[in-house]
Amino acid sequence: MGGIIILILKGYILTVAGLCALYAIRHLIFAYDRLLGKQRIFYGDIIDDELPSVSVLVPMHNEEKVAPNILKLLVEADYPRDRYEVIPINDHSEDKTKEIIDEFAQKYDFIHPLHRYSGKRGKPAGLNDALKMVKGEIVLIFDADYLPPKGIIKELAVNFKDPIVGAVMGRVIPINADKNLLTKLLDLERCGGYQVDQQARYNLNLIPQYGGTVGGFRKDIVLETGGFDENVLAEDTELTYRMYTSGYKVVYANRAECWEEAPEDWEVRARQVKRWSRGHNQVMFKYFFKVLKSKHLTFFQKFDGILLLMVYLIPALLLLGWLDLLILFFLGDINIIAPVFVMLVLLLFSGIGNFAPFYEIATGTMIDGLTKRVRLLPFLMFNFVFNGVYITLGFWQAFLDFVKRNREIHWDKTERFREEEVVE
Amino acid sequence: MRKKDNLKEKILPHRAYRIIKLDTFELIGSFIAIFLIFIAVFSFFPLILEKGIEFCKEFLDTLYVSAVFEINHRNFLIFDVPYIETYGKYPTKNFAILTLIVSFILAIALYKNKYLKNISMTLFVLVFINILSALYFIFFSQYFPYSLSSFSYLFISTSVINWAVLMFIFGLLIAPIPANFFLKIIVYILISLSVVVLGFLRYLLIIVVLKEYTYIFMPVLFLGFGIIVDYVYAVMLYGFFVSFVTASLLKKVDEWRWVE
Repeated sequence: MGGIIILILKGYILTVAGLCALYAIRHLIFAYDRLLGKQRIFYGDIIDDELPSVSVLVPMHNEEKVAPNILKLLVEADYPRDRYEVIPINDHSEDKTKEIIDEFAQKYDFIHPLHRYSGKRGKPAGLNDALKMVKGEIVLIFDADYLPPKGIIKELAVNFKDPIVGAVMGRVIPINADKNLLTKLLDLERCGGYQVDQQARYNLNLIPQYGGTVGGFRKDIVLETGGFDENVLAEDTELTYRMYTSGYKVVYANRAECWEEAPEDWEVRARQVKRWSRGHNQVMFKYFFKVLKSKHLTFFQKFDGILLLMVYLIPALLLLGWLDLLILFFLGDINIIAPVFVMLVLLLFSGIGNFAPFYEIATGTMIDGLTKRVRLLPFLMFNFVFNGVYITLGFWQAFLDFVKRNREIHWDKTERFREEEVVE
Repeated sequence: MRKKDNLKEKILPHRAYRIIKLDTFELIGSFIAIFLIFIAVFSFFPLILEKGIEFCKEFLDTLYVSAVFEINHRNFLIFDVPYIETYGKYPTKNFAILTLIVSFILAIALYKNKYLKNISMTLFVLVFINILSALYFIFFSQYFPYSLSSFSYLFISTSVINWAVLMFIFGLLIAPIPANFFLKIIVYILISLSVVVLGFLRYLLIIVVLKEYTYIFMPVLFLGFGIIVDYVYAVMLYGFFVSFVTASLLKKVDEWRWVE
């Protein structure tokens, strides 16, 4: 009996180590591709006088600290006014968000507020309500803490001139990267994740991900396929897989950069990671077999799609793997496992979740020209336990959501830190 | 338009359109050179191991005049691994209880801490391993499966595999970086040397700690201060190298080309 248990423990370690190695190779290919490969440009350089009509949705819940900034920037956006509307979605706010939105709506006739004080809370529910009043053929979404530059609406919308494009994603850059160690590390992860990971997946015709903000989609496709699933916390990942399994593509627009406010507090970051993990794993349970069976995806897209679906499962498996190692150590059976242990260490630095490995980050910082921050790379090791714990908690919640259908889902809003006006 | 009038060659491209200019010959040369160094180091591994262990033994002989340290060899995969054989000591029950109490207090303090949560959670895990170890030695001391000699072999054999894997990986990472060929070779050798040399120093330190403070710290030293630490040096050096390369690339517009 003891022998079988040890065999299972070793088998588990071997499986996890194999998966880790697979991810390490996948990201190495991405880093090489961004550094050495032919780059695919998005459609941003198309000059077109017949731009599609666009509705910009801004979901807001108690966003008085940031709402004036984003509304002011959206008012100044460079886009033909007859094809442009802004819909701030006030979702059960209890602060001054409503007053701020109404003040802007009075001044600008292309701002059409949606105030929600009844019905289900949360981003997917808010978006579904807003979709009913949207006039544009293209819907772009910005979270309330984002600071969109003047030309970004055009840069994102122009991609939809290609009928195969179902969604588009821009690049996210933290505005408060210098604030503390957490924001600096998040900036590094974002740099690797967008400049290298997303761009390489786009280059290689794999699955670039729509991230739910600084991006958009065709209204018709989303409405025809039933709107947003209000029981899924990662409506962005869900939409990505819905697009691909329906035969549409997601474009990654690396040049369409938008500033965001990264969490400055570890507790806030913990809640964010847990929510992402829960949402992403919900999508994994929903789409795992759909991806495998899809007729619209190539072999490599399926392969990458499955790996992408599993990114928030791996940390949970890895954490169990470390516990497994500890047991094997005390049982005195670790010797044969030693080389495999090396592979586990590899993933420590590979970062986890959809966060980029250290060599992907280094490639990103080199292209971005970040000379000093890259020296913080060894600190990523300390994120392993932190991310692992909260991602595992999120995975567990998603698993319960899957087993006990119709579980109540609460949207956990990310706290804002902005103290002063950043838009003049 | 004449080539010299092409403005794109005079302007540093926006980061979204940047791509490194490649000299295919130099790139292939870098991969080959690094691979050859890797093979050379790999073939000298037995000698490097032997010398490293001899150094450790000499140091320990000087430190503990009355203790006995012997070099033994065992086969591990394709290597004949030398390691130091010596004796250590089990913790007394009182020391195990004291370790348990101190670790428990530390664990609570780390759990309550709200600053630099990533670092405190990592330390929490290490303290948690120590709590398990203390409990093990309080209740099942007689079942502890390692002696200092067997642990010494385990540590060295794991490190050997780790060093080989690490050199291979960092070879793949350093070769395509757009830097001077010789600089890349130097950095590769530096990273390889640092993990091996510092690895031996850590091996030495761990033997001293286990000899002085008993086997109770063996699990935490293996899982927390084992081969993971090799990655810290390597990634740190790699990060500094990339930082240096990035700074120099920003000054040279002609090192970049626009995405077409």
